[in-house]
Amino acid sequence: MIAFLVRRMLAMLLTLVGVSIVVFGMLHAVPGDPAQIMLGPEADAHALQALRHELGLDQPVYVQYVRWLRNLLRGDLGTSIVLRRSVFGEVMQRYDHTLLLALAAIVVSFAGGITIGVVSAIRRGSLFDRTAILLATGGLSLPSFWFALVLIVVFSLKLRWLPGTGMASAVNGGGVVDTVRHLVLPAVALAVIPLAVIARYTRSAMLEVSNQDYVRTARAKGLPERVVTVHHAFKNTLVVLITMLGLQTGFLLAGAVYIENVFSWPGIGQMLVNGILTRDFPLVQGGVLIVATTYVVINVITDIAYVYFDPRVRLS
Amino acid sequence: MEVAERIGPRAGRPSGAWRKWLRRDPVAVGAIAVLVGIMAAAASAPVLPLANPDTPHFGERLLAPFAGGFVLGTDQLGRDVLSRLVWGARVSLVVGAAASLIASTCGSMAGMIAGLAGGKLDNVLMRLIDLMLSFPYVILTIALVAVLGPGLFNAMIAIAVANVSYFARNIRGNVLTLLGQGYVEASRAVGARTGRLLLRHILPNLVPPLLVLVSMNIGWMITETAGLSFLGLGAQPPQADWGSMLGDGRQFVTVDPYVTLIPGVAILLLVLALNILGDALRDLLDPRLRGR
Repeated sequence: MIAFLVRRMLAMLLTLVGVSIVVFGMLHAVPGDPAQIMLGPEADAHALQALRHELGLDQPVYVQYVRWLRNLLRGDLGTSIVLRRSVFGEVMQRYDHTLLLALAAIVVSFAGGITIGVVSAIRRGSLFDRTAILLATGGLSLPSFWFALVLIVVFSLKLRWLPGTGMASAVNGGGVVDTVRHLVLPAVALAVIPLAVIARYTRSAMLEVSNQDYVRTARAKGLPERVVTVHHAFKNTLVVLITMLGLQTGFLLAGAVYIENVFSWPGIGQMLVNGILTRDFPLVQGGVLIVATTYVVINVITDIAYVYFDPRVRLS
Repeated sequence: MEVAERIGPRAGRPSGAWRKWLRRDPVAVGAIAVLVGIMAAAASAPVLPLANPDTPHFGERLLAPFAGGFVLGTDQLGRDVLSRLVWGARVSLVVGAAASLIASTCGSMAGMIAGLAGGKLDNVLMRLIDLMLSFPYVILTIALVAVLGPGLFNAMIAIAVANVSYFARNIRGNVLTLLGQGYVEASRAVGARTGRLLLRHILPNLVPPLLVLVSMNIGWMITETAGLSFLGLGAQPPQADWGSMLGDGRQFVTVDPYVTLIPGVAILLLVLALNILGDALRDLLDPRLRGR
């Protein structure tokens, strides 16, 4: 187990170095002069030179990378071209908001997906099961940004139940209840596709486990059906669900790009799109870096959890 | 040589299987109908009796469907929504198909090279693929658009590149499985060269899995293209695809929800049809995964 942990950590470090090289390279992969693109065609030569110097573009690439990495480790991601403030500060402030949204969506998608999947599997072939499968296929095809708009129209504009934009009300906003009210619609919009995926996987994992000998034995012993379902069948689908957690978190972090823009949720996704539209490269690099790093770390945690929870893997 | 070739399975199945499949799966038939309908409408847009999709009618803005002789109403500039939908379908379909073609071609090539070459080259290619996979898919696309700049063509390239890893990984796996098959070994044992192995045994047997991979993936690509256009990172005005129609109509959602509702339903129908067809095709060509 220790050896595995060490190996996995080393691999993670290597991956993170790779990620940092890709993010650093983004600025250099731009066709044309990045300084010119950021400042626009009317920029004067003096300002261009100053920006090139600020970005370190007047030095050899490896020097630039080392400098960039050293600054990064000190928590310095450069200065946003448009906002004229520290990218690191901006990213960190928004990161919390994105994590909150992603976490809420994880809760919604897993609670909903597991429930639907388990019930579908238990009542295989029933009307509920068939409807659930159909809806899950539909959910997978749903453009999340459009579903988000539909939610706003129905629940915010027509029924006036929940707010449809931002994170806090303009008047007396910011409290826990207020934040939760703002969180509901974006979290549901973000959760709908993962929910469909999880429901499908849970159902097929449950069906697979139900055919195992130990489930039959448990039934033959005369254990109540509820005990068999929870202790023998469902517990053994958890391994599949842990793997899903890692995969879906990546999806949620990325899917937040759309949802945050529809709901004006002040997170990383909104910042990324604004950054691209205003061609603010340091800001985009910061956003991509933090999301990719989170994804890599979550995948490592998933791997470790997977080994930990599956005795067959742990003991071999 | 002769024997080795004769015992190798042939790609494809007799046409009877297709007919039986169609009868058994009416949902898939419906999906085909939707798909053919959308493609036919898109293809015949220039000859259909439609209003000009870009002509504004300022007196007739944001009309509901069937009002003022516009079947699906008008948008914020008074343009005919039905006509824009049909013309937009051309953009969405072409961009989705092109991205899929580029991604599957490049990905399959990389996967085949890695699988056949093995050793160091395989290792290097797979580490590169792993590096791509360490970014969440949408974030990778967004990062590529950031580098290339917003625009429909750049969005297409970004989506294609982000999907290369998916094809490369799967095709490599398939190549390795095929190389371990008895008939490939037999063919090699009697002296067939790599080129002949490739043409005779590997390529034909890669066609069914590749079809499945493409059909499972193309719906995603179309949604993704629409998503980038929706965010303003894809199609730029006056050009419009379904995603940008949705994005432009978004500000007027309070006044006229139809402007966003209609392109959204169109995307949903198209992607749903493609996904149902993808599932059906997978069941047909890869029976091991049936019912998963």
